[in-house]
Amino acid sequence: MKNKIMTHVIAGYPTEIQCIKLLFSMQAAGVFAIEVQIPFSDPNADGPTIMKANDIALGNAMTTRKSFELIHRSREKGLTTPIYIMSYANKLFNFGIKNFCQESKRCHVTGLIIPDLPFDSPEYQELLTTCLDFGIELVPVLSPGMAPSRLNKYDINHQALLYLTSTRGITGKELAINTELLKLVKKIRSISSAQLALGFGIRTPKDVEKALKIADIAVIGSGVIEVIQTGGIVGANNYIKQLTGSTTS
Amino acid sequence: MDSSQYFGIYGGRYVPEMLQKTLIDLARVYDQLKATPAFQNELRDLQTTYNNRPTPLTFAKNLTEKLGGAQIYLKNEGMNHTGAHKINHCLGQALVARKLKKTRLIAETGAGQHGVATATVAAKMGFSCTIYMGEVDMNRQRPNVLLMELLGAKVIPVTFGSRTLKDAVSAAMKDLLENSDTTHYVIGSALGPDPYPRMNRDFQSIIGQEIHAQLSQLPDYVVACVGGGSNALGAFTEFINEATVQLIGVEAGGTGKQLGNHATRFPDAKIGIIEGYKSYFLQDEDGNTAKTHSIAAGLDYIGIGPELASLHDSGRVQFSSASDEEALSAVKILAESEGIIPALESAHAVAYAIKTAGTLPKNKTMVINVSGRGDKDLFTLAKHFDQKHFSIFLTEEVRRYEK
Repeated sequence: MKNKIMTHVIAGYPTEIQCIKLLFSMQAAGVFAIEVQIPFSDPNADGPTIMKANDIALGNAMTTRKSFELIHRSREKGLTTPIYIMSYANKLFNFGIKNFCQESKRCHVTGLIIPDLPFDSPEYQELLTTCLDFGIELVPVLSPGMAPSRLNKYDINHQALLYLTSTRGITGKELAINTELLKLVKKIRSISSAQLALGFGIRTPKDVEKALKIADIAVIGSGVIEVIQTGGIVGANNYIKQLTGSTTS
Repeated sequence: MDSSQYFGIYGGRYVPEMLQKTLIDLARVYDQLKATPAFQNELRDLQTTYNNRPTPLTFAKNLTEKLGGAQIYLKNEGMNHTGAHKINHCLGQALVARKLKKTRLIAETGAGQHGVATATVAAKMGFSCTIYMGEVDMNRQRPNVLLMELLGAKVIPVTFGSRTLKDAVSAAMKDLLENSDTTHYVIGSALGPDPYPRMNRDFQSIIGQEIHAQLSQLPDYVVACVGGGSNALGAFTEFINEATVQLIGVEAGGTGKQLGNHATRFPDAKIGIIEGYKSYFLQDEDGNTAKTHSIAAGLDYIGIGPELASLHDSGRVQFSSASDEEALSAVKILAESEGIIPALESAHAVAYAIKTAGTLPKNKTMVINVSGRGDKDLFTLAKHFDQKHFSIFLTEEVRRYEK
């Protein structure tokens, strides 16, 4: 059985055309889902690698509207892999919450991942209601060390997918599975049957193996971009195949 | 929605869940502490025996006569230790951080003023200290880097993005994400996620309280420059509920009205959610942060604190702007007429007074918050007032260095 992997792309990185090629090679490698990041000037939860990719994508004049067009075109060309859109609150707010959900629906997006929108903000509540109207998931981003009382506010027993950061920190570090994380996983498992996607620091097949011992899906973010930087999208293609286990090289 | 986090619709705590606990703990401990006499006494003691409070309120006799209108008073925050009002909230935050058992202070800095104030307070109160500063800013403000290092702080160059203040904020926030168990992030203005805007406002509000006591009557106008808004809120808060007092915030007009050439949020900015709070931000059409410009580094910023955003909407605070040129000329005018060289930031408030005081009746009083002194602007001032001789001086200084 293949490993359940969710890969991360930044719309418009390294270029618009190569980004679309990347989506299809990820589909060919059999990833479980793809997280498409709409680039933003101030991606505060991301480390240097993804930040730089955001800058490059913005330099390629990638906008929120064009990001949706990119996904829509890929869908028309036969991309069927589930897509989650990741971005920051301001991109959504600026585009309009309803518009954002409408476009997501048109592009057959499964869910949204917005790390800087906590439940106790009016925008989260508005987004949640709108997502429900359009049948889109709003995926909570949970982290070790968070208070159990806040965990419950994300209604995690009714979610299909939960995004879990392996650590407190930014993307692109080394994977460390500590007791704080294990405690959180245990807590979540005791109240929710949602699939757990574990991200932050997962790069190698060994990391994937470790991640999948405690979670259902391993998220590969900075890793893909690092490989693109050295080996282009051909390199990325081979890399992802290795991680999904569809090649043994 | 927890209304204590908001000023009208602005403010909030828009940060990833991994940082929520840190901010909730900070808010809880601050709310407990601020009401205790022990905390207030210790802060007052530091403010008077280490910092230089109360700062003077000076009647600007010569300037008043020159302009021929309202009676102008200068609240001289340049007399604070380290040269500006910033140390007020650094001292307060350090006391809160100590209560939280944090051992390390971090801060972002643009021109270096807030970094120097944080490094100073860290040295005094026994914290280790790391300051994030954009690589471009470090190259522009090398003297302040040296001062921070002398004070024992580690200054880390930020090499991503535009390598300026905005990126230093981002780098400091990331440090906090990873080290929140040991580290307190000393945000340098009345902005950022809750509780920073209200906490820094409280620590700065001593400015307005002193103005009120020193003037022994209500002023008719209080004028302050506005970057993020810490000195403005510091001067305004005392008078918010006094309807007769007009509160004027002066933004950085830069070199022109085109986006990228200034840092005036009104009327160009859009409401957004950036850097952990909801407010007005200068943005492009797609919600990315815009480039800003001001001759005064402390005003060269995309956003404005959430409380000022709300006070803008309610009309309680009026906003105006002064250009780079007007600020430079205000420095010269205040220096010659009153013997006070204001920081370029504060000179924006002075420029407003120069433009308007003459049109007001003589029985009106106008207090200008001179938030900092101008020593730090030596190189910028030299470039505009005596470039030729300073170029020779610098060239020769390099020669002397390399000997």
